[in-house]
Amino acid sequence: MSVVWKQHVETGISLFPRTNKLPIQIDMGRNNNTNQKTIKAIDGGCKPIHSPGLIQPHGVLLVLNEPELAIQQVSRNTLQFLGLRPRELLNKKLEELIDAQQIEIIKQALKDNFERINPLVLNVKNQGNAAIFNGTIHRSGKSIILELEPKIAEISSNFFSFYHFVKAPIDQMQKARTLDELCQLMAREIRNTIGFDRVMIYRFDRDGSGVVVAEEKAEHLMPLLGLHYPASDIPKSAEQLYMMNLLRFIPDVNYQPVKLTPQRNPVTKCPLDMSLSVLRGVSHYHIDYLRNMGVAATMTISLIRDRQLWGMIACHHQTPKYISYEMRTFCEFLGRAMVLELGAKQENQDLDYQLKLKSIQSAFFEAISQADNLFDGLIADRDRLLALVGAQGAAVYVENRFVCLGQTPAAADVRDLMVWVENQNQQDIFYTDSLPKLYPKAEQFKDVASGLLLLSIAKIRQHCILWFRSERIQTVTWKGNPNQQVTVEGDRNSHLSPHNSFELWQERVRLTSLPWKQCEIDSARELRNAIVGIVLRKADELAQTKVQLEVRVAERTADLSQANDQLQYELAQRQRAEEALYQQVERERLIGAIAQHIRESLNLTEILNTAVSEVQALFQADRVLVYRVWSNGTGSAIAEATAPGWIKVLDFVFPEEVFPEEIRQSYLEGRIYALTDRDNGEILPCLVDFLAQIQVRAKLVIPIIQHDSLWGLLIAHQCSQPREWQAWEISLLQQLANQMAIAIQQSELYQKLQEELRERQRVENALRQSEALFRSLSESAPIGIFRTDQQGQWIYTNPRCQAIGGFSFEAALGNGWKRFTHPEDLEEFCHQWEAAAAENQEFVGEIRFVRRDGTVRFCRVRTAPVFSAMDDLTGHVGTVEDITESQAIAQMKNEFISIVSHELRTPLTAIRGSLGLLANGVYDQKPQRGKRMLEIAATQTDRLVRLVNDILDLGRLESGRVTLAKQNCDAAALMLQSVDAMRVNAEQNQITLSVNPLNVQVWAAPDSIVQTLTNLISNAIKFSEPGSTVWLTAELAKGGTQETRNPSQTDNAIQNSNQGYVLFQIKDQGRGIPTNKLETIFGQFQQVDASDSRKKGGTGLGLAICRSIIQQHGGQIWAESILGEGSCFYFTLPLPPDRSCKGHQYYDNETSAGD
Amino acid sequence: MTMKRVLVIDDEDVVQEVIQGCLEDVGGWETLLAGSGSEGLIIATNELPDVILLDVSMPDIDGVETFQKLQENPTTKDIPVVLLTAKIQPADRDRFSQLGIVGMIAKPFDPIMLASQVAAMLGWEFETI
Repeated sequence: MSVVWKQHVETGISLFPRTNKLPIQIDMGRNNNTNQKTIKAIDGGCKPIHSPGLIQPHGVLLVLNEPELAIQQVSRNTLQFLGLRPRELLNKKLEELIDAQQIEIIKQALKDNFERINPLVLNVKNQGNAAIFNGTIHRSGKSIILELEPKIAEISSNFFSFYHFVKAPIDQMQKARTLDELCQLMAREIRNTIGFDRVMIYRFDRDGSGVVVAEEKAEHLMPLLGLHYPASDIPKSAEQLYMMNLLRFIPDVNYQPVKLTPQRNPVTKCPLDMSLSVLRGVSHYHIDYLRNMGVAATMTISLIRDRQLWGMIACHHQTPKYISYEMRTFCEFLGRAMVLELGAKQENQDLDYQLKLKSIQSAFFEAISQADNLFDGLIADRDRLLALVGAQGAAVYVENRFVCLGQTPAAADVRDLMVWVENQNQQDIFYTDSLPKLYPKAEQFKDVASGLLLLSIAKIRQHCILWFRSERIQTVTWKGNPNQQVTVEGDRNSHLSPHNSFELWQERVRLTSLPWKQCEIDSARELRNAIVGIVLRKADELAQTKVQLEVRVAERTADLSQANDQLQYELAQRQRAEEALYQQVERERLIGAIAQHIRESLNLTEILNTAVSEVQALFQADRVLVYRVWSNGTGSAIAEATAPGWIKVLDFVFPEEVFPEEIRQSYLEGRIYALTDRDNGEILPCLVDFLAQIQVRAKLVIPIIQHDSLWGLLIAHQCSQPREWQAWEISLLQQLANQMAIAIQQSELYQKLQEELRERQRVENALRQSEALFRSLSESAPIGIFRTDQQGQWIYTNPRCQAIGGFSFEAALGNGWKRFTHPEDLEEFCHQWEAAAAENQEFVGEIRFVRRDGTVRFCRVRTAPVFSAMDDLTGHVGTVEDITESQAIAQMKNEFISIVSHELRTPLTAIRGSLGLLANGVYDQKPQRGKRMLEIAATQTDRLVRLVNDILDLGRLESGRVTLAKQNCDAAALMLQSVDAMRVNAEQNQITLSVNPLNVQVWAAPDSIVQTLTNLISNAIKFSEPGSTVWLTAELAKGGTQETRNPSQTDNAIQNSNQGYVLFQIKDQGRGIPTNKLETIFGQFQQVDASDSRKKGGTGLGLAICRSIIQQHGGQIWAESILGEGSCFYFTLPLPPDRSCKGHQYYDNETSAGD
Repeated sequence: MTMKRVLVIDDEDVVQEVIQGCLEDVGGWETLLAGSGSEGLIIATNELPDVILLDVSMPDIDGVETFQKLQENPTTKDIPVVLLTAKIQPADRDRFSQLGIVGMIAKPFDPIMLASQVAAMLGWEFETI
């Protein structure tokens, strides 16, 4: 047999090889599980276990016949032990080996009972040597088997030593309280004794499966505690052997089996039945199995109780180990001792549990009896309910209430289950530990309900409790690692492993739970009894309560009836009162309506008329009136409502006596006057007459009081007959009178308000007008206005002021305006102002405002103090004037004066100097020098004259005092005239004057134009080289803006209009004018080259004068020049006005002038 | 005593002539003439006159600027300067007196007295010739 290990691990034990399908052994009983895989039992010929014909080699076996005790068969290893070969022993008699004394004992025992003499100590003779053996002898069919093992004196064999050995363990066993303790103890004792690597205690279940309940092992080994084996692991036949042979021992699994010789018994011709043999050879399977698990030596002891195999002690060792006969005996003895103790412990085990259950019951039943209702009591403590029977889940169905607790199937399933059970079972308790086998649907929830205990409390479905137990596998744990398996190759099936055992066992116990113990079932029954008892007691209580209630009810009914009568009476009374109230309410409502009408109006007349007419209607009085009491004491009726047929009193004059002072006073106090009948004898006769006059038989007078004075009276008259005025009528009228008073007051107030409103409107209008006036003054004023408070903080600026300063209204307030002033000016300005303001004086000052864009405005600020009606200073009012323009002008004037002053003083210096020297005779001896001085004086005088003339001219022109008198002039004439005037000048300077006169009429002042032309020509000559030419030309041009001759002047009056104009041109070949001076030369005292010009007699004002003249004519004057080549001066003059429209025609029809 | 040499800087020819007459023919001094500030600077630097008569209002560089340039030049800064001016406003006067000149003479001046006035300003002995 070759076995290959894939993983060498000690995985446990196998009690027996699985020989389920051995063809020979078919009486397997419980092992008909066809799901198991077929294991082929190949054992070299299918030898059955109990007659293998082989022994283990640690002893010898002799088969003897009876009664001679001749050796019929013998194991082949006799030489080693007995010194004799098997053939030497066969057919010998036993007495040849052992002495007669021992033979005698044996023969004696053969007649009797073997058990008492086993084991024996035998001396076996062997050619003179004697060896001591431990022998075991037993019958086997007709033969006797004697097995001998050499005696190893480990234990001194005396009577007491054994006792010493066993005393302590037995003591302990007795002390063990529970079964588990006992088993554990046993395992430990055995292990300590024999020193095997592992000792286990097995227990078998009712169904034949086994479980390891105790284990002592070496540390490194995998635990097998809790491992379950299916019953199939132990075939029935094997069990029988276990029962017969209490102890099996294999000291070395790798032993060489020793055959018997001869194989078959010569007498019986059968194989030897070696059931009881201790040396019997073990089956291959078993050996394989042990090898697979790394077990090399094994010993098992059966635990038999009540003629049944209760369990086993199994010992394993990883290396071969031989245990002496004595030791084995000791262990076997312990095993027997343990069995004795089993009973008590098992009961104890259960006893503890039973006590526990009992205590749960009592607590439970106590709780239920105290609970308000049964259901709550049952489910109050879930754990207790479950522990009552040792279940994992429960369902309670009581009084139509249903709940599942713990691990149960789904509610619907439980209900179905309940129905099914009821159909199945009429008893009060139904239980099973394999519900799915009975009720296939339960397979779906086998995990939680493989076991079911149903307690029906009442026959009707209404009350029952179900307890559930989970599938056993759920509750069983095994600490072994199922992943570490031994796999066996070869022909063998690989099912030889504890894991597989576990699996098989699991298969076996599928769909079953742990079985219900009797004490648990009893517990349930007790519960039922308790419930029933409680319910009965409660019913009893209820009955009593009911009786009591009935009595109470009767009493109450009597009371209530009495109360009811009382109420009826009160109700009747109440109703009467209600009716009266209703009437009153109705009247009040009417009054309310009237009052509302009255109050609706703010008009006095309306109010009064409404009042009297409504009252008249309501009271059915013949007349109702309002009598007004004036401040002077008199009074009259001011409103009236009279039924038809009776006279009106509206304008009736009431005599003084009717309304004397005392009566008035009493009315003021609020008293009313009700007269039932005029003729009742209590009224003064004069009054009676009066009343008759106005047809009054009965009257009711209510005062109307306002502001503590008597405003008037509300009077109701009955004319047709006397009238008894009712209290409610009087009361109502009084209320009405109050309402009227209020209404009247409101009306008066309203009038007053209207007055006030009108007054206010008038005032507002006046204010608005004043406002508008102010606004027109301030907002539109062409001068800046501001207002300050007493401290000088600005409180108001008008728009113009804001524009000048460049600030907004808000920005200027307070001291804000200061931010907009020029910093250089501010301090001085404020200083001066404060000085003036302190004296309440008027102030004038100048300050610059700097705008955000940087522009500076010169401003003149004036302030004056403002006084209130009481002459208190309320602040200052001020003006701000922008004087920037006039400043500029003033500045220009200053400059002009400065320059003019200089221009005057310079020739004067020369004149005074020259004449002074001359007059002082400095040059008396130097006539040439003297002449020179005179010359200087003369020329400089001329210069002065020219200057003065020019200045005056310009002054006149500029001032506008002289308006040039324009007329029709001939342009040619003007040109010729000016040329004439310049002829001498030109000749002197050798300049050729060329003129091209134009016969066109122009609208101009002739002298001024001639002046202009001569000036320009003069300039041209001045700045030309001798020999060059100066041209004077003119041409007629059309108006329009298309081609502006002067690019710098685009808003020319003439040129923009569609009128024609004349363009004059003076051209020279002089030195020219730099471009940047073409504009400036027309300014005052602006010369291109001052000294040069002055030498030539220029005053610096010529071009300024020309410009002024031309501008006054509405024309333009400008210059164009190229430096070094020459200049060209232009100016334009308008055509005469009456010709202008015809100007177009003029051009079209005529040839141009000047041809 | 060496003859005093006076540099006259004025843009008007006739005024130059007249002043020349006043100084040479009345004072007996030698005169140097310049028609502009720049010309005057050059002559002053080269000739080192004893005094400079400087016209204020000239085109191009005016008298004040000319004076400042004279002051900047170490050669000429010590030459006393008398300002001739037609401007007689108090503001102008104040401005001139701040400059560091020895004196001012207004135009028109008395031709006979011109030289003696200048001499007095400079502390020279003077006699008309």
